[in-house]
Amino acid sequence: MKLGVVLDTSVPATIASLQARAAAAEEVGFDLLWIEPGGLLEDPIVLAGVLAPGTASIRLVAAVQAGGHPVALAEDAAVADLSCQGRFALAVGGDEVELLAETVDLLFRAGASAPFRHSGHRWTVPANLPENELHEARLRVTPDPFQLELPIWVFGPAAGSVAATRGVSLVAAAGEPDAAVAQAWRAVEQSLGPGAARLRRPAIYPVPARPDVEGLVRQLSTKRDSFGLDIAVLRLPDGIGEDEWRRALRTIATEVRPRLQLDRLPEGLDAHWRQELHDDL
Amino acid sequence: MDVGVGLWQLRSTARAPVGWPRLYRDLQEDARLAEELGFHSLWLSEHHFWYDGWCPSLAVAAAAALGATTRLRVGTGILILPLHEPDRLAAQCRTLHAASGGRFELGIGLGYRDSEYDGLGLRRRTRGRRADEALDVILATRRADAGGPEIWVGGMGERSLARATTRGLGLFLPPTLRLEDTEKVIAASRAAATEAGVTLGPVGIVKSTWVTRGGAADEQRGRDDIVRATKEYAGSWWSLRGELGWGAPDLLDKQMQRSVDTALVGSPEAVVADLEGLAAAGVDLVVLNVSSDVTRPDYRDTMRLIASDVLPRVVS
Repeated sequence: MKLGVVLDTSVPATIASLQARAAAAEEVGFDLLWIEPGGLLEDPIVLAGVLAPGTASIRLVAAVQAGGHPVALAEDAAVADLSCQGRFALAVGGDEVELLAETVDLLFRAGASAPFRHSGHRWTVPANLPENELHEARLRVTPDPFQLELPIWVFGPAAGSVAATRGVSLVAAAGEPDAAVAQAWRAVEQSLGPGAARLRRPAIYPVPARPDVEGLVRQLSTKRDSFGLDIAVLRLPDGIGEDEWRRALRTIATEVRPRLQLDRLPEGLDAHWRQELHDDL
Repeated sequence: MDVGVGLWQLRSTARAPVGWPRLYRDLQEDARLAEELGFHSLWLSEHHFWYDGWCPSLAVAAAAALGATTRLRVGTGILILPLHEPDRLAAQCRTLHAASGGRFELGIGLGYRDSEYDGLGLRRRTRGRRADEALDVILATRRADAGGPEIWVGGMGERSLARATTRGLGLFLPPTLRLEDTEKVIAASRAAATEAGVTLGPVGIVKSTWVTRGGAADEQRGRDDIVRATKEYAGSWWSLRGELGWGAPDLLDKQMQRSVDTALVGSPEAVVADLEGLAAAGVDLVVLNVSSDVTRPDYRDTMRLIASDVLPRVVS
């Protein structure tokens, strides 16, 4: 199972402190940073750009709401992906299926490396308005993202239906019952068949600043067995200090992560880890 | 006077092909170098849907340059304001301003390519109104406690200048403006601002630049580079006598001659003299645009030469 953590954007933060938090997660092997709009830090893709130079291997996932022009969103995403040398992913949220679906469709077309035309409910690209005399018949969006296929995930009320028709990974929200998430994934499998296996199954999950290791391992394993959770994005309480952030991430990295990688652990290994940790302390 | 460097465009051109990932990595290194060398700022420029990948997303590119540095200011020279959704751009500006501790500078202009507006579903002729709206949204949604980025308004049209002089914003003057005209525009804009009851913001100007100790031959090479770098997109985009630049080669050459005539090309001493002239005309910031179509080592050597032989003599 991969582990991610939600970047705390609720408190005013400087580049240095944002980079320090991201680097702390990277240092102990977290796989991704989930970046969503916060109080003063409103644009997650811009924040991914800020964090690109301060990190080297952690993935940067920017979570934005659908609604803006998808071509502009695709351009921002490509520049973010190039800035972090291919570590970027875009999660798009939406309440309306039609809007989210068209946004994803346009993100696909704009992120590919060929000229295209799109006529949808909301957008015509290129618009080919008669007043714009020197327009092109088809649009080529440049530059290309670093990755051959930029990961696009969906979340929010409209996400299940869009995941099933577009073949994109569906992010389960915190607090969504496992049974409901499992049902959404069954619908995706029904629609995509074996193709559903190429999707990731992330979920956002709240944890306290001092996580209960056994409880967390149990809960995440249950989700894995229920709907196939393979990327757990942990949300620590807003407003915790940098030291507490580091301590929580270290606990999760050393005590939770190893217990989530295999289907089951050989008898005795868990007891051995407990003893070793006890000796260390 | 402040001296910045520009204009990073992140292009992989026919003449200087290089992977986009490499260009974006170089931007971060260039920003660190510019900071180390003592430049005031680094400036980026925007275009869309072009074969060479000309950077379409300055907010994100600026974020990476700001993230790579601690003192350097990073600006857009210019961002094509009407192409952006005002609320989203305003949020990006607030994010950059807050995270960077106020090191982001917003230079804006109107743009002119039909296909850029068309790609984003906009009518080109609404660009002035859209720019006004966007400026008002950016200014109205600034946080009372945190302020916002300095705004520099590009363009020489009457209405462009009025955007700055009625709101007390800065000017971002184009590279082809001659010294005597620079002086006149600044004086007239200050007067117009006063009349509107505001104070004009700082005045910036971009200058195509090639500094060399290599003598006449190397200076000619610098001029050739400026023409080559400009001609490619001027021929493809500019409307001259109602058609694309390539279709009006005489006018295109005339424009290129003007680009060279108004450029700062020569020895460090000659460029210092030019910069002193601009300072005397009332310019607060000069963005030295070292030709983008040269190799990185050339570019970095030029930055170093400017830092050692020009900066100390002009920076206040």
